[in-house]
Amino acid sequence: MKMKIVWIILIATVVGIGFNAVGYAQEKYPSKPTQIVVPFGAGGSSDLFFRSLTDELSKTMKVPVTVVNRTGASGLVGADFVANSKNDGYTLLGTSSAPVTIAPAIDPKDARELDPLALLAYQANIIVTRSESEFKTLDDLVAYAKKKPGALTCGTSGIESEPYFALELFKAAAKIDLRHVPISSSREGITSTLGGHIDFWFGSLATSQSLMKADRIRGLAVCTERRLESFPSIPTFAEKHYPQVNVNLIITLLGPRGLPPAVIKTWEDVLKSVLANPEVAASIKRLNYDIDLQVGTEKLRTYFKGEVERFSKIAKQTGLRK
Amino acid sequence: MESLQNLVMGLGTALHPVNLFYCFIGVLIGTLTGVLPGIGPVGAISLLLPVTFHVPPLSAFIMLAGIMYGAQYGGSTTSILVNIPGEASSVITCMDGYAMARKGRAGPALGMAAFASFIAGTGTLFALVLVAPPLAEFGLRFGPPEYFSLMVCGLTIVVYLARGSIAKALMMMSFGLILAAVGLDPISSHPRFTYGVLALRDGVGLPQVVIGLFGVSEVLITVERSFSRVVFETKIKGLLPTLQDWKDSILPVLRASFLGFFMGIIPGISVVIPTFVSYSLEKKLSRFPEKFGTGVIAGVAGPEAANNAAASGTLVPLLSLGIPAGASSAIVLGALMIYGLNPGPLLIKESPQVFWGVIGSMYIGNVMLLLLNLPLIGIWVKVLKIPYGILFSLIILFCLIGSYTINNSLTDMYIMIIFGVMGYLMKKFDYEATPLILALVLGPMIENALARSMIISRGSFLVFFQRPISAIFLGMALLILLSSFLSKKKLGEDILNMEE
Repeated sequence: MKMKIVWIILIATVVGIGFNAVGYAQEKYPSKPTQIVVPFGAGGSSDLFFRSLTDELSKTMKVPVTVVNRTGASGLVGADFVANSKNDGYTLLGTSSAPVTIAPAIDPKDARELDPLALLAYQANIIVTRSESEFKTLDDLVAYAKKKPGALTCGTSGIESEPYFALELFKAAAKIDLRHVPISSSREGITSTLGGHIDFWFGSLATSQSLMKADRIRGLAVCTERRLESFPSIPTFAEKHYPQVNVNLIITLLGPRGLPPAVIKTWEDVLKSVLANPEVAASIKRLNYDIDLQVGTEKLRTYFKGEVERFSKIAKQTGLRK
Repeated sequence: MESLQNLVMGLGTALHPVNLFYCFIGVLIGTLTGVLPGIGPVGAISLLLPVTFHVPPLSAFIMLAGIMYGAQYGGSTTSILVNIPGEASSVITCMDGYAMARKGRAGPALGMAAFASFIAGTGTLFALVLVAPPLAEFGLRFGPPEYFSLMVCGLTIVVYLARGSIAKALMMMSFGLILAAVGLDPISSHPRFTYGVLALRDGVGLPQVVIGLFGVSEVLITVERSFSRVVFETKIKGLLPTLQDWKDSILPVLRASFLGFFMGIIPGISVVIPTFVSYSLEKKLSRFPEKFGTGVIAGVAGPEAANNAAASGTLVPLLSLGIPAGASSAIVLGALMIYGLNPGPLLIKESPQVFWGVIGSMYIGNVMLLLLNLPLIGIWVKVLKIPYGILFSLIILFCLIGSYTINNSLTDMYIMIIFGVMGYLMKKFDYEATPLILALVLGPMIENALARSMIISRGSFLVFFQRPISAIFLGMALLILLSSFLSKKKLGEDILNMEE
C-alpha cells in the first residue's frame, strides 16, 4: 500500500513537471523585457515618438518596454542589429521609413530582412521659404523656375532623405529645375533658409513649425493628402495638380523576418489601445505627428515594396543608384 | 527695464525649493558625466528623458540645462588632473592645466577653471538677457560661405597651438583632415574610406578619437615612464589661486568671455572651437608665449571661460529662434516639445515664466557649480595620490565603457583602442594631438560649407570674397598666417643678432 502511494506521487510529480515544460514552450508573449531599437539619435523626431509610447506600452504589455538608440549610417546600423536578432518579438525596430524604403532604393545591398508590424503615424513634409521672400505661393515658385531654370536653390537634409525624393518628384512633375543643396542638419538648413542663403527648404513639419507660427517662415505646399490642421492655409501638392508628390515621414514598427503570428497579433492589439490613449495621443500630436495606425504584415510588405520601387525609379533617373 | 523685471521674476521661480532640487541633481549628474570620458551630457540627458516626463516642464528643463553646464565643469577636472579630457571642449585645458598639476599646482588650476567658468557663465548670461534678439539676427547672416571662411580662419590658428615643431603640427592637422573625410561624401553620399564597415559611414567620431588619443595614450605613456621616475610633485602647493594667479587671469577671462559668447551665437559652432581660439589668442598676446604649455594659468583660465561663454552664446539662437546649437540642446528642445512648450521665437511671448525661469536657473546653476566644485578640489587633488596601478586601471576601464556608451557599439571601442595606441606612439615621437583634433572638428564643417557654397554660387570661388563677412574672415586668416611668418622672421633675426 505504501509503495503504491509513493508510486502515485512520483508519477504525479513527473506528469506535473511534464505539463510545466509544455506550458513553458507556449508561454504567453510577452514575458521578458522588450526593447525597441531606434536607429536615430536620442531627442530626434522618431526617438521622441517612441519614448512617448513606452510608459503606456509597458503598462499594457505588463513588461518593461524600453527605447534603445543604435545610430549610424542613416538608420542602417540599427536596422542591421534588429534584422540579425532573434525573431521572438523582444527586439523590434522603431523608425521612420527611410531605412527600409529609401536605403534599399539607392543600394539594393542595403535591404534588410525585416517584417513590418505596423505603420503608426505620419508627419507632413513641407516646402518652405522665408517670410520676406518674394515667393508667396507655390505657383510663384514654379513660374520663376520656368523662366530661369537652375536659378533657385532648395535644400533638404540629404539625398538619403524622404524630402529629397519629394523634391525630385516635384521637379519632374512641374518640369522645373531647382538646384539641390544637401544640408545634413535640418536646423542648419532652416537657419540658412531664414538667412536667405538658400531659397527653399524641403523638410518635415517639425523643423519649421515653430518658425511658421512666428511668421518667420512661410509654407508653400504640403505632401499630405489633406491640408494640415495646424496650418490650414497651406495647400497640398495634390491641390496644385502634383498628386505624385506624396512622400511623407512615416513612423513604422518592424521586427526581424519571420515573427510568430502571436507576436504580430499582440502588437496589433496593443498598438490600437495605446494609440487611442488620450495622453499618448496628445504627446504625439505635440510632436507634430498625425496618428494613422495601419496593420497587416502582408499588406505592409507590399506597400514597402511599392515604395522601394517608386524610389528606385527616381534614384536611377537622378543617377543616385549605385 | 522690462527685461530686468522679468529676470527677477525668473530668479524667483528658479529659487523655489523644487526647482533648486532639480537644478542640484542636474549639475551633479552633469559634473559626473563630464568627469567620465565618453559618457557625455547627451547620454545623460537621453537616459533621464523618461524621468522628466513625470515632472513639471520648467523643473525638467532646469535639470537638463544643469546637466549641460555641469558637464563642462566636470570635463576640465580630469583634463587638469590626469591629462584626459572628459569632453572635447576640455582638450585645450589639458595643455597647461596638466602641466600645472605636475608642478604641484593642481589646486589653483582647478580653482581658476571653476572661477573662470563662473565669471564667464554669469557675465554672458547678463549679456544674453540684454541683447539676445538683435544678436540672433546677426547670426542668421552666416551662410555657407561665411562658415567656410570662419572655419578656414580657425584652421590657421593651428600655427599658434604648436608647442614644438610647426611642421609636425601641420602634419597632424593634415592627418586630421584626412580622418575627417572618412564617411559619406556630403553631396553624393558615396562612402569614402569606410572599407565596407557600416559604422564608419558616419565618420570615425570625435569622442572616440579624443578618449583614445588623450586618455588611453596618457595611461600607456605614464605607465611606461613611471617605471623610471616619479612624475608628480607629491607636495601640493596650496588649493586656491593666488593673487598673482588672479592678476594673470582676469584679462584672459574677459577676452575669452567676449570671444566665446560671440562665437557661440553663430548657429552650429561647437563650443570646442572657441577654446582653441582663446588659447591661441592668449599665447599670442602674452609676454612670454614660450611658457605656454609648461603651466601658465592664462592657458587654463582663457579656454575655460571661453567654453562657458560659448555655451551661453549658443542660447541666443536657441531661445530667440528655437535653433539648437548641438546634440544636447537638440534633445532639450525635443523634450520641450513633448511638454507642450513651443521652443522658438514665440517661447518668450507664450511662456515667459518658462523662458525667464530657465535663465534664472542658469545663474543659480552656475553658483551651485562653483559651490559644489570648490570644496571638492581638496578631494580631487587627493585622487592624484592613488597608486598608479589602481588609478590607471580604473581610467582604462572608464575609457572602454565610455567609448561603448557613445552609441552602444563595439566599433567605437575598437576605434578608441586604435587611436589610443596611435596616441601613445605620437607622444613617444613628439607629435601633438591637438592640431589633429582641431582638424577633425573643423574638417567636416569646412568641406560641407565649401560644397554648399559651390552649389549656391554655381561653382564661382568669388563668392567668398564678394560677401563682406566672409571676406573679412578670409582676410583675418591671411593676416594670421602672415603674422606667424613675420614673427618667425623676427625671431630668426633676433637669434642672428644675438649670435653676433
